[in-house]
Amino acid sequence: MQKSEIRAFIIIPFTLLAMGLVELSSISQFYFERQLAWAFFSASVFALFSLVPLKFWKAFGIPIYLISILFLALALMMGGPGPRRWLQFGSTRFQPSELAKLGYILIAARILSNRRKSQIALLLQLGLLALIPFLLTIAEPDLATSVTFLWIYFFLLYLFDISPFYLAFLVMPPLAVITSFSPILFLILFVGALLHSRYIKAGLAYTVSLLTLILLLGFSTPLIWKKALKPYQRERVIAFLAPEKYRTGSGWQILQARIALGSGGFGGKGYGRGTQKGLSFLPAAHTDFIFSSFGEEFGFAGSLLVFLLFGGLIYATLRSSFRMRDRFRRALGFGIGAYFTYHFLANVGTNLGFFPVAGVPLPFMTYGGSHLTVEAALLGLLIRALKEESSSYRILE
Amino acid sequence: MGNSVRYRSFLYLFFALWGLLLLRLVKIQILDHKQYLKQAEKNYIKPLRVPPLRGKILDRKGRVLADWKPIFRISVLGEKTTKEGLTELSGLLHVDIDPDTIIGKPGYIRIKDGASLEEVISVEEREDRFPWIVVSTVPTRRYLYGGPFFHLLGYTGEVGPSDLKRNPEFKPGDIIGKSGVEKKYEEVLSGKPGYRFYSVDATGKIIETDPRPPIPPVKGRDIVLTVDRDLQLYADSLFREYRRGVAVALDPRNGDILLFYSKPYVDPNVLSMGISQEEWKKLVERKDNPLLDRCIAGLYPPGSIFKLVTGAIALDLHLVNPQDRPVTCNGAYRMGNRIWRCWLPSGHGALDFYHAIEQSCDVYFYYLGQKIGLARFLKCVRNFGLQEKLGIDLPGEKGGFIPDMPWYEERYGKGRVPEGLVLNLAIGQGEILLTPLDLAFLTALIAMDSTATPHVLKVDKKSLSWHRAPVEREVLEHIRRGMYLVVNGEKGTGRSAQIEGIDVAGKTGTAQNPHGKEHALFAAYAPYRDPKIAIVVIVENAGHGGSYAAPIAGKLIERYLKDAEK
Repeated sequence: MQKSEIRAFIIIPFTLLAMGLVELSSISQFYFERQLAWAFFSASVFALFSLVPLKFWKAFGIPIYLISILFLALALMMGGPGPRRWLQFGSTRFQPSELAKLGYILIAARILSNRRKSQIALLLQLGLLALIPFLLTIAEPDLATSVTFLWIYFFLLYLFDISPFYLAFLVMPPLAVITSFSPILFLILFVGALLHSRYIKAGLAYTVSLLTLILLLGFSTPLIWKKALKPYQRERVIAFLAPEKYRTGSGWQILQARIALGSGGFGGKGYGRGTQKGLSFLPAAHTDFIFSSFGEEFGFAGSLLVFLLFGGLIYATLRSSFRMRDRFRRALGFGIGAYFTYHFLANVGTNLGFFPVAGVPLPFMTYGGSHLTVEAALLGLLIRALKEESSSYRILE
Repeated sequence: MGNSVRYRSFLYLFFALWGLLLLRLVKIQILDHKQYLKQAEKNYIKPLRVPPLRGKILDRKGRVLADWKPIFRISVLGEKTTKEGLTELSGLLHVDIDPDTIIGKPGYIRIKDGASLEEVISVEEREDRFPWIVVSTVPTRRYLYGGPFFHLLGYTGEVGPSDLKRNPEFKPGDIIGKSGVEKKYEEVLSGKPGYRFYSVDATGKIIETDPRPPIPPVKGRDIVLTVDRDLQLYADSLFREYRRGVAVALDPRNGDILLFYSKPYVDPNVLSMGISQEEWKKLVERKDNPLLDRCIAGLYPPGSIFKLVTGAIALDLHLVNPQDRPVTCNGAYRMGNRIWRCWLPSGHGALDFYHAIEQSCDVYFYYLGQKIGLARFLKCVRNFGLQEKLGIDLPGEKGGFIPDMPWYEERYGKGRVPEGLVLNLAIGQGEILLTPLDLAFLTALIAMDSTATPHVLKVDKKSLSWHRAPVEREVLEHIRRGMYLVVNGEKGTGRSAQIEGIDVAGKTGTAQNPHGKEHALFAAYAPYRDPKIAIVVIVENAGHGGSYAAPIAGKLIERYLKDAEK
């Protein structure tokens, strides 16, 4: 068994957690103490998931998924005006969308482990199961979180060899939406779709329906943009395109995040010396923008460490998943890998100004108990999968 | 093994994006560092927290008890302050400033509320010496009637360390309710602070106001109480010649607290402006304890008022017929080889139940106590639930103290608890202690058979929770007849509570006090056949309840019922 990988799955997350706690204590004693309590709770969740045999979690994925869907619906129904992302339990708030991520990964891995299923069955079943939490979270509204489910869905299919014949149908329509604002990019997409159809030697029906879909979305998106999107959603996207022009709202935060990072320089301003956190600059310094506030105080050296740790964690996750022979374990590992890649890219990408303010946590570092608990569970599952794989491997040899 | 092309391409895709982000990070943190550093330093925008208007507190008729007035607040930008500057400022403003808690701290820190116009001008004249100062006008709490409402309304003050820990929304310098209604309804009253923004230069001097649009504060909500302003002020005037006492009145039909008066008190206006630690210590150590809310946290022996409970228990157990005269009072009662005295040395003779209450004959109730027996007596008393908090919507309420058998067994040993204890308890002396609110609640319960949990916030009738007296209905009718005689009977002990045109029913009490003169107690309700007010008056160290507490209660009842007619 790969001791180094197991170590990577414990030491790297622990280091990230510690770095997050250090930064939280610099921002506010209150957040630090609460997060420390969550860290202890998460450690026991980690132990639970790594000690119980995987076949149990394989079965238990269904109830976890169903409960999370129920909670998502409850949060939607019980919330007042404003975002309805949380359920209140006594003095703690819990974000059911985080639990849904765990539920989806488990249930998707279970379905993928059945090797007799046809590609189209996998595509539809996983798609439907992703669509439910996707719709419930987008209604909260929480766009960035809802995309998580699509991301995991798509990359699981991709890594499990679903034919490009189907994948094109999954990828091209969203791309059509994105490129609809730029005629040139849209043209390139259209030509690309055409070439793809020729390359895989698709029939006329396939080509026509793919191209029609792309055209339809390409022309309807600008209409929806003007008519259906909420003003604040539009504002977020616009602010992302030209943050300097929008000094308030989300553009303000993106600009301030960049000033925080940039003014940190190579060595940083030092622990507790960041001036950007706090109300006038980075209101979400402890959540969405913890990377920026960390980078301000610990500089490029600190940010680079975050990059290297996440790079290492994701590489180790994907590589060890790829080596697993058992389909369930492999799907589980890839699902977890997809989770980490999305969260790292979306969160850090936002901090660096690549995306509008998104609202997904940076794993292990962002303040909040729900995502930390789920991440501990994911790591526990990963360790368990590695252990079981290596013991079965030995028997085979 | 899976498809290695797919696996590799995914890995490459991720690391390509990872690398792209890294390049961007290098650009921001290393290549453009100087430019961003300049922006961070030059573009110093400092937020100043703007306190919201606290909701007003109104009495039952909508008259204002607490609102706000504008004051000058002086704040300094901690990170720009200097020791010399702060020392000079401290002299100009006549406040103690601890430089260690300010120098180098980020953001604006409040150093004085309620600065006078002279002080503000003297500071602004020396603007170049303190470029890091901000003078703002903020609302502060004003209590229109001061002290008499202190225990009810409470006061406001700066958040303490424990509040800051509990709620991340609080920031140092915020004002919150510290006691009474202010504390209980903090969330309703407080509103939400807003912000103004200032661009400052390297010295902390404001170079631009509102570089960002200000975030306006949100006003707190007004609340309407059940108390009557005039009744409260009238009570204060009646207590003028006494140093310590309590008056609590409620509407027995719905639990509305009409009067909530506890003396001594302090002026909440003074406390809310902030007082020095020394002054605070003095207040806490004062012997007459002005910070103690006697209405809900003062524990008193109920005295003869408790005979109502003893009587109710005995009648409910059918131990005595109210028309019978089971015992003759010749000034003392013998049980075993001990003698218990009646308060009237010459004796009351043979009395029925009603007249025993009227004249508060100790011997009659010694007799009832003995018939009930200690263990049963304690059990039945506890059925009234007064050992628990009643659940009034004010902080700091205490439950009454009603011991049970195990408590006595611990003190005397199992099987060695003297049966004679019940005699003292039966006339309200001894270990049992109740709050004035408990007594008022008990009176309301007797007056109406059932009553609602006492409360000071005006609420919808549907949301009330109700309590029933734990005895049969006709028992209470006998008690009420006795209480009527106390005020209206020929030999009644509470005749001084009589009011022209209104039938009052009541009970006097005199509580033994090891520290001095006895406390005078009086509990009453009126009108006798249609109760609209139940009241308890206690005058500490005054003497007999009938002479001191009953007249006050009578006047308060009269005032309230006459006002209600208008």
